[in-house]
Amino acid sequence: MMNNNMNMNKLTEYIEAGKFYFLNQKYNEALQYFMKALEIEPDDIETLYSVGILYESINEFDKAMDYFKKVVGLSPDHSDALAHINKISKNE
Amino acid sequence: MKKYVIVGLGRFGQSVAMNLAKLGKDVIAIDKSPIKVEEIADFVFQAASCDATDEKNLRDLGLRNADVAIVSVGEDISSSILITMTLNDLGVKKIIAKALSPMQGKVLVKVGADRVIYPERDMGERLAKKLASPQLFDLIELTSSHSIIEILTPESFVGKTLNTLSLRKKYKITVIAIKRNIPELSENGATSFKENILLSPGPDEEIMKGDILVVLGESDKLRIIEHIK
Repeated sequence: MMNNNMNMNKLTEYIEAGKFYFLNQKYNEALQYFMKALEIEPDDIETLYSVGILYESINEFDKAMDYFKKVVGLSPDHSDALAHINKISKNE
Repeated sequence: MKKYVIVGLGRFGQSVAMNLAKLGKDVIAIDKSPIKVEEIADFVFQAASCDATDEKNLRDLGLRNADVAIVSVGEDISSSILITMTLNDLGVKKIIAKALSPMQGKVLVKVGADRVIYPERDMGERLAKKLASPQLFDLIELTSSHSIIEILTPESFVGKTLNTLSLRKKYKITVIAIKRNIPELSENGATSFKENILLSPGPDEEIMKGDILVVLGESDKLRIIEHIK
């Protein structure tokens, strides 16, 4: 139980740090934190979606697509991820 | 307002018609197939199902005043020729005809096309160039020797200013704009970004990871830039 709580705290911390660096356009640092979050919870939809957005924002569409597809795989009705998949498919 | 006529509503014709309509233009869409006409009818100014190789049909549709006609009737070159001739006789100001080969193009010009386009060939060329250079996002050929390209910033440019990179001095090319996405958080706290364009960036502008550089210059020199890592 204790371990679970600690992990949850760490997960939130890493996601917040990832978002902080993303907002400051420090993409490599942001990715490092998002990846640490995914080590704790590989199926965390918020983190997977954030990584998709990060890659799309720096125009790395193949990688962005991989993450948006993972989101949709776990949550088929995720309308935002579906919208990004459509947008990237149209542009390519 | 300019009046546009699209004859032939295959994938290409339909796309041209829909996009012109989205841009608020008056579009008359024509095809033999009532199904194709029905599909587009709600989106365009007028849609008609008729045999466009019959001059009377085109005359009845009042195409005399049309400003631009796009003839895209697929692989049937004899129909393209007849329609182009008729539109020319009706006095349509500009006729753009789709062709599949240079020989077809020559014939279409002879019978009155002002411009011939080869969508499949052009798409093939663009795709090949894009595949050969994954950094390349877009290419506009201004003349046979000068182009504008959009490329993903090479890693070695990140963190440097345009002044430091001296692209103009080294390659005689000019960065005319930078497309840069600005990260933000949406209302629900999810990560997001806003598309932004920086026109005529100054010499002190620092290049950032993920920037798309819009560059003008000699095509030969641009090809060098495309391959910088």
